[in-house]
Amino acid sequence: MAEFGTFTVLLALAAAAWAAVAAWIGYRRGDARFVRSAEAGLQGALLSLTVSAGVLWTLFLTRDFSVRYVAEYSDQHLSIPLTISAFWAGQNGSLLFWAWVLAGAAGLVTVRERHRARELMPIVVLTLALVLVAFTALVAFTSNPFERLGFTPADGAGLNAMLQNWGMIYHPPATFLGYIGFTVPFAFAVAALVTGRLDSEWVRLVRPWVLWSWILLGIGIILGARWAYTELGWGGYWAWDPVENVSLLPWLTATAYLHTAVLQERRGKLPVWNLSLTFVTFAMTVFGTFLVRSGVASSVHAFAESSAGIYLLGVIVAVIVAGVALITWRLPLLKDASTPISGLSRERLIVVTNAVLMVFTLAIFWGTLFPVITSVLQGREVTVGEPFFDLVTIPVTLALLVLFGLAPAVAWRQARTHGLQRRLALPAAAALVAGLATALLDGGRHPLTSLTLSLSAFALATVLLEFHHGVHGQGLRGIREHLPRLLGLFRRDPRRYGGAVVHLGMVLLIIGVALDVTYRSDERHTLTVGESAEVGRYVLTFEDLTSEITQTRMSLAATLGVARQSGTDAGSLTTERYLNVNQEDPRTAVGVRSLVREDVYVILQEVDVDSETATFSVHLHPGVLWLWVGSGLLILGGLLALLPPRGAPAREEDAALTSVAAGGEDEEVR
Amino acid sequence: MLYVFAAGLLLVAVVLLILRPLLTGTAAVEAPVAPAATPPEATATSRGDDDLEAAIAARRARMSGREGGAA
Repeated sequence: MAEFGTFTVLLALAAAAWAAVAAWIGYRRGDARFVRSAEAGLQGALLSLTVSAGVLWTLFLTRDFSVRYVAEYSDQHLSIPLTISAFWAGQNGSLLFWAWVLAGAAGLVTVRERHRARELMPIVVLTLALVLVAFTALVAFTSNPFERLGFTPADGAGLNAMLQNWGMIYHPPATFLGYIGFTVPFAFAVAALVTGRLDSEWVRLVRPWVLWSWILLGIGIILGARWAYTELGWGGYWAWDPVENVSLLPWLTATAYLHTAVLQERRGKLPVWNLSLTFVTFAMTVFGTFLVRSGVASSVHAFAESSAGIYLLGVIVAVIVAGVALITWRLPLLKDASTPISGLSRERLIVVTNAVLMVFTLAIFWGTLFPVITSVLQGREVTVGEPFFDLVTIPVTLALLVLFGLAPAVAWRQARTHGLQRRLALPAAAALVAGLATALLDGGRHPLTSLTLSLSAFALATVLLEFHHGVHGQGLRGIREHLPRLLGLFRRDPRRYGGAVVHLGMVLLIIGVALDVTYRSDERHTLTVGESAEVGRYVLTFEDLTSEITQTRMSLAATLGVARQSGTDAGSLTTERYLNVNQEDPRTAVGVRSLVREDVYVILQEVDVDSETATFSVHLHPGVLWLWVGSGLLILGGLLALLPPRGAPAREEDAALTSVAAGGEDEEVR
Repeated sequence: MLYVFAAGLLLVAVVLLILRPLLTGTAAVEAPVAPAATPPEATATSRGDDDLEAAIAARRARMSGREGGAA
């Protein structure tokens, strides 16, 4: 059966290679038959890789340990869900998964965009086919998950203990889906350059692809953060680990693109910049794959060193060279619209946002790459740690908060100073109150946190005012009228209000992180069952200690009751130390009780079963709940922005048209 | 033996998929894409008058530049 798996990968490679050749012939001859055949080639590759995936899963589920990959990443005792997730636990399987999802995206493009992007399709198909050839060849020739061992061991080595978590089932696929989705905008950018159709059409066509990829990568990053927060060993929700960093890079460049794409669609501005961002975003996804698989980065996420790394480096170089060459070739056609960006306008803020995001991206890129460069050139290990990343993140965060606050208040084209002062008065007052309140509450010991919270209040106020104005625009009263009107805003202008929800989520996320890093505390307590300890404003009671031994797992779990000092119950939490079969070192699962003000986060450090005594490390993480709420809003906002806009009442439309005719278009002025 | 049969079946399916457009299609270059101003929502007019009105309104909104928000 494994040989059949190898055959399906080779067949997919052949189909993708044919797709590339046929697409080129179709483009050169203007022959629609070859273009259709190329599209069918991509669909054939998808069919073959779907069978490949089915074969690998079957090998895992039938415990065929004669296959090296199955023997290395599973064993007889691994649960069915984790066995399914073992597919992407190692390099070979994750590359097959990558190729399969890429073929899925390519197949979807051939169905969805065929009629909408007819002139771009030959080159879109050609580009997708070439990328698919690169990844399928990687699977077939350097990282074949169907390779046999030559003998059949009695059992497999099992899945790495750190990966035996529910997060393994959804975090890697979501991240991969995000990464892979960015190939489609890249293909459209190449097609626009090759065909010379450089108007905003390609930008409009790729918008849902960029947004979906941005959402999925965002989900992947957030789920990974949540997993790392509740499992010791990953370094908390964000540790500036190289692999975490490289997942953030394409997300940041895509965020920048989503902003400047609006300028190209609306004003014909920044075409070169937008094309460059799609190339950079795609290159960053390959860079991430390279870093994980080359063995050059020291990371808890990284796979073992392999020849796939140098191969992927070649892909990155090819993408950069192709991007620079194509943009340089088409530079005469890539004229920026002549209308200048005026002093204070939404356009200006978008450009500044891009600059801030680019500085952030470059700093993270450099901080991630620097240890790799010194390791290669000087042969010594250098670590770029949190202090460097904090140094960059703090000013970037402050700048973004100011921009979040200003954006809804500043109109397109040219903001009027008088109206701006009026619109910013309330947010400025909110900022002042929040800043003073936090400074007074903590005695002025954390001025940077006070500043962050003050600017967060400023941003929150303008975003909330935007919704307030939207809802009250027609003088409605009462919640029964407000709610449908609020929901109606997302149907009327999903981009604008979806974007506002994203900004709202970002602000909450920043508030959560700022509160946590500033005010977190920890202490140790040794308790016997029935004993209590006071921690901050809580009383923790060690309620129960249970041990469990099954065929596959030994565990000791401690349950603690959480109550407020006032006596009100705040639930309970369970933390455990466990040892899975085939593993040498025990691991710890953290017990977390999430409350509005803070998380009670308990780690079981030591246990004496005979005396029923345990030592706990108890941490209070203020504001972490807001980090997750903000993350959820971030994703929700992205999804809302995907909604198709529904027509507003004719009267409003006429007003807007009149405004445009009068050279206004200042819809934000109320 | 079963896998050899499955492999053959898959090979035939992929080859037929690829060859079909070459054998049955027409070589003529297809009509160019519609102008960029036609939003996708404006094409969904077959779902009824309500959708048609909505599509027209959305198109007018797009024309007026109201569609792009805070991104």
